[in-house]
Amino acid sequence: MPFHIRESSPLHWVLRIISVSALAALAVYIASDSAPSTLGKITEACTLAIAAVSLNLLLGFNGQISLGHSTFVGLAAFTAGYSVNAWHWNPWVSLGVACLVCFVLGLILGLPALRLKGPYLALVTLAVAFVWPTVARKFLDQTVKASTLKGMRLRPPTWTGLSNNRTDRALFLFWLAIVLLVVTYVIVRNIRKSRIGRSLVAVRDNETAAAVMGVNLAITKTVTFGISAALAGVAGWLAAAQLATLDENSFTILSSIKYLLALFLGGAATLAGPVVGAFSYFFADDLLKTNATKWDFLPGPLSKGPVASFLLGVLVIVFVFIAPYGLVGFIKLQARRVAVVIPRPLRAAPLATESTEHISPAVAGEI
Amino acid sequence: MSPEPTNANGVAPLLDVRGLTAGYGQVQVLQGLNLRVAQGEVAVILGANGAGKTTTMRAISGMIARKGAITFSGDPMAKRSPDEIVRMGIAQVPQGRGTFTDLTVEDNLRAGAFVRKGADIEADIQEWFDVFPRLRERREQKAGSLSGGEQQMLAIARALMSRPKLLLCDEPSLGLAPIITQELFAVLQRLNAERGLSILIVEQNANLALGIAHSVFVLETGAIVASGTAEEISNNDAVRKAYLGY
Ligand SMILES: Nc1ncnc2c1ncn2[C@@H]1O[C@H](COP(=O)(O)OP(=O)(O)O)[C@@H](O)[C@H]1O
Ligand SMILES: [Mg+2]
Repeated sequence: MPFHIRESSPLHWVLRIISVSALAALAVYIASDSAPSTLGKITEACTLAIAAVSLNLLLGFNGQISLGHSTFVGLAAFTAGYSVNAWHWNPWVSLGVACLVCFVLGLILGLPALRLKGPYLALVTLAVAFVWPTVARKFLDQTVKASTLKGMRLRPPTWTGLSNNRTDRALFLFWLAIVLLVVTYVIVRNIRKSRIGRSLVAVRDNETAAAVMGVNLAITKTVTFGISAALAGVAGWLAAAQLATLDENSFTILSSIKYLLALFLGGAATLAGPVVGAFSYFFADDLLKTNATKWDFLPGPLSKGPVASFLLGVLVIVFVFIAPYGLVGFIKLQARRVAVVIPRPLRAAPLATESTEHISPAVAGEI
Repeated sequence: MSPEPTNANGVAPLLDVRGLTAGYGQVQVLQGLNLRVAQGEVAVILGANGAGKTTTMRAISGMIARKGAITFSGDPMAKRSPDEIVRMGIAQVPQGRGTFTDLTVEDNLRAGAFVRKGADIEADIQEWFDVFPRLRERREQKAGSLSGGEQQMLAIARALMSRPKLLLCDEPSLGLAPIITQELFAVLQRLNAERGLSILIVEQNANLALGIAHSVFVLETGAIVASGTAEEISNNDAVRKAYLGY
């Protein structure tokens, strides 16, 4: 028999606080005890996680596929890199502007999405992802007149007490990435739990039923596209903070595929899914890349050559069979054997229900 | 029978549809449809597959472009958008399992109150759980895990969450076992009798629909070809042959 916990009971709160504190403690521990290169990897994983979280809002909750999220990330990175280097903008201003630019492009891409679904929408967004490198190249040739665009070279602000050496910069970027990931996560979480969030899922599950409830399909879909793109912009800005240089190959269709993989590995349409998926994907990939070449027990052709990506592919396929609802779905299923959260009771109806005058919610309004 | 709607007893009807035309692109499906629903009655539109029943529902709810005069409680609404129409007091239970499968039962109901704000939404959820006790038992379950009948009940409860004056039901019996369908119609009848809710149902299942209808309209290829009280329509030979099979 699983252990029962009442939702929002003191015990439930204690468990929640413990898990959040444990995560925070883990971050502090890693920050205090890791080489800059490790911190850099975690920063990169956070960037991937932010992109996956933004895609989850669009694809997981609203049911609109996008293979063009790499373009939003790239556009934001270029906006940040260029505005900070060429116009000497404050990097924080460039974050806002990069998100705004992505929001507008997202709205525009959301327009064809009103008429297209599934594979057709995938094709349109795929086209955007394919066009991006050409556009980025043209931009570099015409404006920077160099083969690459410099990153933001973000310095730790003085109040952090960090200097601008490699170690301190890595530490600063690490915390910055964590904060931005938490902010993005909380934004998506709050949207999902709100009335608007329910309407997003409603539109995904049944457009007709959502529309007859009064949900404006066109506005819901385009604005969701815009917000998702703006959040992807956060990932792009963070990349521009971390990367020394940017070029047209920084964010190609392969990045979009990575966001998708991270999302489905972790569990689409769950809140934690894209974060768990992004970290799992990133570190599985990293582990294989650094170690697989040394594994001489692998048969023949596998022991040489690009074995890492092959093994990662196998891992993903196996995983899809073990956990079709992603890691989070899998963990939830296992956790349910240990403990079950009992939903809190409904808030009681007002006493007016007892009155004989009260007819029903359906007609009470106009009597 | 005249295509003019009956039961105009001097009181302005709740829903008055005149000369409604609508369709998809070049294809005109509704060919000048007339119908009326009086306050507090159950009206039924009988029609075979493809007659235009769903199209009629969609046209009334503002989901598709339409022409003609539609008034609701005397207010013209032919040019209104779906959300305005919900706010005016018309809720629709769409054809098929119109639930949001990945939302919990409770969140389906909250979603049904999309056009409303305020604390009394939770009280309404309680109230509809009293009417549909099986939904209360399953309130934390995803709607997709409910049986067909339960999902149809949920779709009705969800539509009621917008506090409509008129409930539109698009083939509620579709794909349900006869015993479940009977239960469903009993619920609709109770909502009408006990709470004064006006209901417009479109159906192919004439036996059941005639049982709870006050007035009936027969729809064929986009136009009303007969109308009258349930009794009149049951006694109409042509209608009996076409829809009741005897
Ligand atoms: N989305 C659509 N696009 C084009 N034609 C449609 C569409 N939906 C329905 N129709 C056509 O309109 C006619 C009426 O359909 P409908 O209103 O769904 O009938 P019913 O609900 O009575 O079975 C049918 O001939 C059908 O083929
Ligand atoms: Mg139909």
